[in-house]
Amino acid sequence: MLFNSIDFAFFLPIVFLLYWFVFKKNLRLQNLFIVVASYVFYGWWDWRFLILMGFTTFCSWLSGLLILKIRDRNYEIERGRKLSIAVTASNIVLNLLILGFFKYFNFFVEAFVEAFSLFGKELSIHTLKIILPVGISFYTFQALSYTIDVYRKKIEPTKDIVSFFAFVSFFPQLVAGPIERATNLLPQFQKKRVFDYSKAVDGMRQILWGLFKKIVIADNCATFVNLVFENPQDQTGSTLLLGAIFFAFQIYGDFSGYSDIAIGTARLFGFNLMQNFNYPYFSRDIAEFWRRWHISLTTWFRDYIYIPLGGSRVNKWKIVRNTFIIYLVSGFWHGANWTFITWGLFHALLFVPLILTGKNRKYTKTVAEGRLFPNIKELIQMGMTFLLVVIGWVFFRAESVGQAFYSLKKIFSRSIIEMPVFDKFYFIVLLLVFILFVVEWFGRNSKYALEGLKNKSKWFNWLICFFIMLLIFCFKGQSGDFIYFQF
Amino acid sequence: MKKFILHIIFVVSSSLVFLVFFDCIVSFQLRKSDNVIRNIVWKEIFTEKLESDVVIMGNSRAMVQYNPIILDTMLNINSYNLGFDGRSINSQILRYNTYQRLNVKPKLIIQNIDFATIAKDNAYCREQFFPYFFDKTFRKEVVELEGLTWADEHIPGFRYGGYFHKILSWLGLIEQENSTLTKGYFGNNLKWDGSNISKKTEINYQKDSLSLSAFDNYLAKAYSENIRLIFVYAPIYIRATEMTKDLEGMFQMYDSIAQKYNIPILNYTYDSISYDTAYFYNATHLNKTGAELFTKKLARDIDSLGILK
Repeated sequence: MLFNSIDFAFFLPIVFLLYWFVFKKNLRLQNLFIVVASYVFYGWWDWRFLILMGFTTFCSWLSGLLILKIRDRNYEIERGRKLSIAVTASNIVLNLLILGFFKYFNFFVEAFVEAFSLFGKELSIHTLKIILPVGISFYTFQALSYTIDVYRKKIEPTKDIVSFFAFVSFFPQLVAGPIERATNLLPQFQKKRVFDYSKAVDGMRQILWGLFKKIVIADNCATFVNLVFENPQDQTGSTLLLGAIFFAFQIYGDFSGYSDIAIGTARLFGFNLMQNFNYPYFSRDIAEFWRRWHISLTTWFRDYIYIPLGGSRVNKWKIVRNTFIIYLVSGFWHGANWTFITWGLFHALLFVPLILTGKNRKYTKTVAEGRLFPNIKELIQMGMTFLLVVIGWVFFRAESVGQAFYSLKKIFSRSIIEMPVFDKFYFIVLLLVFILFVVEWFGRNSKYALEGLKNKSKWFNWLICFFIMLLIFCFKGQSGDFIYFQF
Repeated sequence: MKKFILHIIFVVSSSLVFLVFFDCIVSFQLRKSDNVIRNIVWKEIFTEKLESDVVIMGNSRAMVQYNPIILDTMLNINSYNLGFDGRSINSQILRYNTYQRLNVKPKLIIQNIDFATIAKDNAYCREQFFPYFFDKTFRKEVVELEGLTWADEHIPGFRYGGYFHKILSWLGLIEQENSTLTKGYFGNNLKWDGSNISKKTEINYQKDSLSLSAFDNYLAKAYSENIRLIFVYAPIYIRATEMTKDLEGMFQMYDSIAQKYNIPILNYTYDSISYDTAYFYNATHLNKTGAELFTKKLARDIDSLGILK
């Protein structure tokens, strides 16, 4: 069920009304209803994978209970610690094996066969037709964060299986994040929710903005991007560059739009999810970009991989090693393709100099804070960072590493000065992207760009909201799926 | 909570009211418009009594290559060109069924056949169907053909979402199209441009199984209604013919269908017209001069078949 579908337009009000009118008085029942609704939401795509999600959720919950039992038994410290590690590690391995099988099995088989062919040996190993369950990367990481946080004693394990199932499967963020931490979301299932009118209105506003980013920006950019990247050999360098820039807005509109809809929807039910995007294209360097892009995933990698490896508190070579590991894993998380790994590697190469020179936390405040416009230096910094990010997106979008390098070679060739070739309609898309830019610039200090409307008059609010709805209606793009569903 | 729900109801109902008005006004204006050639045929199908003895069916090659005026003059008939630009057989059948439902049944169908006839359909210029959704049968057939959603079918105006710039264009508010259409025929005066084959090495003829089945059903229905048919391979530039992979396979496919329903075939693939770029505006479409010459040859050949007697 897509957020921008009629199915969801019927699903959401039904769930909302039942949640607040029928199940309001009993917290446990209300949570159980969330589980049922979430499983219906997920099963809409493919009911077969409900069993898989249920199984991984149950195993993670059970691991928390086992760790609790180990603590309750008062084993000697070392034995208790080893048992806890064994339980935690088993759950991690189990979840990663399941994720690895569905997502990476064919990739490894093909890489294995290719490696052998380099030595002149042809292997006849067949790949399997494995369907990738939607959202598996997201809910697996969410469940894993619980197990690890229980082990680290950041959160008490819960005996309440219903609230745990609700935490893992919560439908607004189930299939494309934000990847929530148990320390943030699980307690919210364990206490009563009260309907708050202003939060609900704010949630609707955020949903509307998310729909604008997805339906108008991302889907319209996608049409041009698909045309360009289908046949890069037929395009000029300037057209390819424009295609890459459009892709930058497509992926931003798609993913941050989804996150906005997820966060806004959660607010309708009284839940607060974490911010997942913080205006990343206004970043002044790559380090800042990575503090603002897909925040839930980058902080997950930081807290569960980077810091346990020593983080930045080790010698320089280990810092470099840790940085490369994080970015390569991040690339690999996105998909079983060398293009994503190359994308990760590219960002690692950009990030390492900053961290080695201690400049990775130079820009922690919002750009042009307290000012209306950026100065020239900030403008150049944002432009350069954006350009570097766009180059990285070429790898992300290309069908193969070869195609990515071919496209980049063309972009940096003489044909960059030729006029790009595109339909007049895309001038309208550029205008819409400009509107996005302006609105996000003036809203850059807020959690989402339209948040500031809550301080404006009622009539102004209605005017803006109806205007955005009109834009969505007039310029609805023809594409459909959310990009990050494939992860 | 009550206030919130009331606000949601207000937003939904005012949106619906807007959509209803939008649909009425826009659909009415679009139906009236002569600015876009794609609308003109639909307008004539829905609003005029087209009492045609002969209809020409096919894709863009039918639309630009078969001149009904010449056919009418030489064969003493009343013909109409239902050629459907950019669309394969499924859409052509939809157009024909709508024509037949609202107008007089023809005595003869001249069916253009080529490498793209039995292709899977695409969503090319889907908006041309939208102003005619007041017709329930047409609406259902379009929804099925185009894979439209429940909302497109049942919520007024919803289907126009995302077509704003096309609506403006259709109404002539942002650009004017050359819209001279004569009984469905569009004679194109453009000069030769070989770019549609210069980057290709081969053309594959299309054979989608569902489209083939639809084609067979349409022929069977025509046969049962005693409507005569002729298959015509109109000229395409010889270089495009040479690039067509498994041309013999394509000929055999259409031959076997033709034999099943006793349909004569007129094949102009290797006619002298096909060798001269002066008659084409691109490798797969005749220009106006070429179309007129071809239609005259076609008229003579149809006459000699005796099929209209």
